[in-house]
Amino acid sequence: MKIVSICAGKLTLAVLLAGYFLAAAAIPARAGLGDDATSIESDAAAMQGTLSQAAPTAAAQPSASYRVKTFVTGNGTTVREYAAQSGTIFGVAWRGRRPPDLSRLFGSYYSEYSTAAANKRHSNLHHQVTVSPHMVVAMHGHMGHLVGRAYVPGLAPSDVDPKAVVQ
Amino acid sequence: MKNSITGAAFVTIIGALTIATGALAQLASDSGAVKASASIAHIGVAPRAVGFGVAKVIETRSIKIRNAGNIDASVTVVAPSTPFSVTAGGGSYSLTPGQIQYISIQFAPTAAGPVRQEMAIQCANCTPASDDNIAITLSGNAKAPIAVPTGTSPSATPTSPTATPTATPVPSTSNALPFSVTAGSYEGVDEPYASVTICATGTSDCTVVNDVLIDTGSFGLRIFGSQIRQLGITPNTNGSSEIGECAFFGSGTTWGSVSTVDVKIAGEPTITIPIQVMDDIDAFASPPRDCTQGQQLIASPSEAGFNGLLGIGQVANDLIFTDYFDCTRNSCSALDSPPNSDVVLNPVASFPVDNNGVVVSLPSIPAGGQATTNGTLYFGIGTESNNQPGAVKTYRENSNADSDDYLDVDTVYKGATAGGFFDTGSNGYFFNSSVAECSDGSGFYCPASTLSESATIESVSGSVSDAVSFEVANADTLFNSNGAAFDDLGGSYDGGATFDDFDWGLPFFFGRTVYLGLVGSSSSLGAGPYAAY
Repeated sequence: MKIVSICAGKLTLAVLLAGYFLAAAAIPARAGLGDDATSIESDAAAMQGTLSQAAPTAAAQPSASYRVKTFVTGNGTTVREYAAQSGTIFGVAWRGRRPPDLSRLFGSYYSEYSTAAANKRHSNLHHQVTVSPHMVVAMHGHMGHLVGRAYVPGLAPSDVDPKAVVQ
Repeated sequence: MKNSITGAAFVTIIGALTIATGALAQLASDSGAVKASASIAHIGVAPRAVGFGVAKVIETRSIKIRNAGNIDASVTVVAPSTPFSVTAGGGSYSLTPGQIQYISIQFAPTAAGPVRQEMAIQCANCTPASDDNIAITLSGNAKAPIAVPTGTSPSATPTSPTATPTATPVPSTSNALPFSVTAGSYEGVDEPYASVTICATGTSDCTVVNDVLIDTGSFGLRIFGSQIRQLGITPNTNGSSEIGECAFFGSGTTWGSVSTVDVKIAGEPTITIPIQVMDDIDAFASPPRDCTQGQQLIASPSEAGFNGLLGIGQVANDLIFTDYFDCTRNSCSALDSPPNSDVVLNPVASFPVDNNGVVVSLPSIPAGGQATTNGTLYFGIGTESNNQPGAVKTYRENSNADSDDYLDVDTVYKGATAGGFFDTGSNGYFFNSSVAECSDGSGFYCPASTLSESATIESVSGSVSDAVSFEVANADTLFNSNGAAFDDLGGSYDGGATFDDFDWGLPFFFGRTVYLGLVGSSSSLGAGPYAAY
């Protein structure tokens, strides 16, 4: 039985349900990996965060092949989304005290991730790498210090190594 | 009382054992309040025969011991020999009246064919005299060897500091908690396991929980509910609600109630503290979505590889790192400011003495690893004769609780500087590097031949530094060996190509004695947080 907390907010619930029904209809989910960069703003809103208004730094935009957008969630976690010039989001990364909403960030790839992750033992409390047919998810962290990244190599621009850039 | 099993119910189970005296018959009808006039110890042991059948993998079974008397029982588990071994609950210890202890027996066949053996559970002061030596028949069969003869039996490596025949030796000093880096019940690798005793508050209803992972990377004690269900512990309440908690780790999230219990660790005085009871038995509300955030739940001991987590890192409680909830059976809502009495506490900070930090000590181990390595966790720094820092260097850590690098030292690797931390709950050196990862996608490193690496640990203030040389061996080779303790296991930190943080996990601790000072405490090494070795 799925319990949705009262505090999760109607917005999150609505987005979840919307994502669920869209995914069920085999239409790409409205946010996260695989979707268009225009969805990043709604990702930020769903996580009670706002997109960084600061100009992108040189380090964050090192290539003409992709763009990076950063936002900080309501509970203080920094999220970066990486989009190809075509607009398709091919990578997400995060750093903070609490995990971001992976089911939203991973978009239509979330079910692939959750199936693969459910078959893994948590043999290392502080470390988990999950490789599934289309995506790579690596997470690390002790209490208060969580980092992670996820990318879909097949969506990355041909001249971009997602392992190197998604961080 | 959703997950409680009453004392009476338990006596019904144990009641299958013959209870000879009138006094004990009375006990059996009312174990909660001991009314017996005679003071005796008596142990119930079940089962008396353990069959493993035809094993295809290393198998583990449990035997339950319960003190059905009304005084402490002095119990000794006489370990069997190969291919059987005691992997948890072994050694000599005292059971308080009503206390239950589980013994894990492992069968790791080293040859094809049937084997049969007797092991003994002894009680030095029990009545009747038949408790003096209770024989347990162990039997099993195999079509082929599963373990090599020098195998995984903890008793095959007689390096226990207290020379007891057990994977988790009995403490010898009040502030010293022995632990074992051993496969344990969950085939762990570089996982330091210890035992802690949990009791229903103010009672002698206690149980020893084995295979509790010692974690300097978290704060607070977390025990799976299945391990303490017989104690009938209930969630702490907040008005008409019950308190739930969600804690976040790199591999997933733990969820369960907050319950205040009595905790006995090593020989330190009993402390009464809130712990997280990780719910693996559906005794509590389901985790709210705000808790899981699409992350995987660390949902059971077999998934986690431990029965509990002894979070003895450098902060006194977990409040700023975790989320608390007000729960009913069917829903939970965020509790942003839990009452102080419901905040999960780091046991170390809760001790009346020996509360300014911990000392982790592990011996050096040979290249290629060991099946079992025993170490000691000392509580306190400079508070007892056994935790005095000698000639050590002290590295100040980031003390800004708002920083991403809180509790980090600096670490320089190949010219790049990032944060570094000392974490017994991480089973490798984790750092992003160009070393080849294993083909199984685990993120561990699998270089063709063992690499000699170096990184420099630096204090965040001042000029103290140390160039640390370490080795990274092929993880597949290590995992396919018979060892469970390795000082040369490494992996990527977060799957990236750029060095960003250095997790000095358990391999770092072999051959070292490491002092970790709590935030807000002080010792002869100065004010915490710091690391020294």
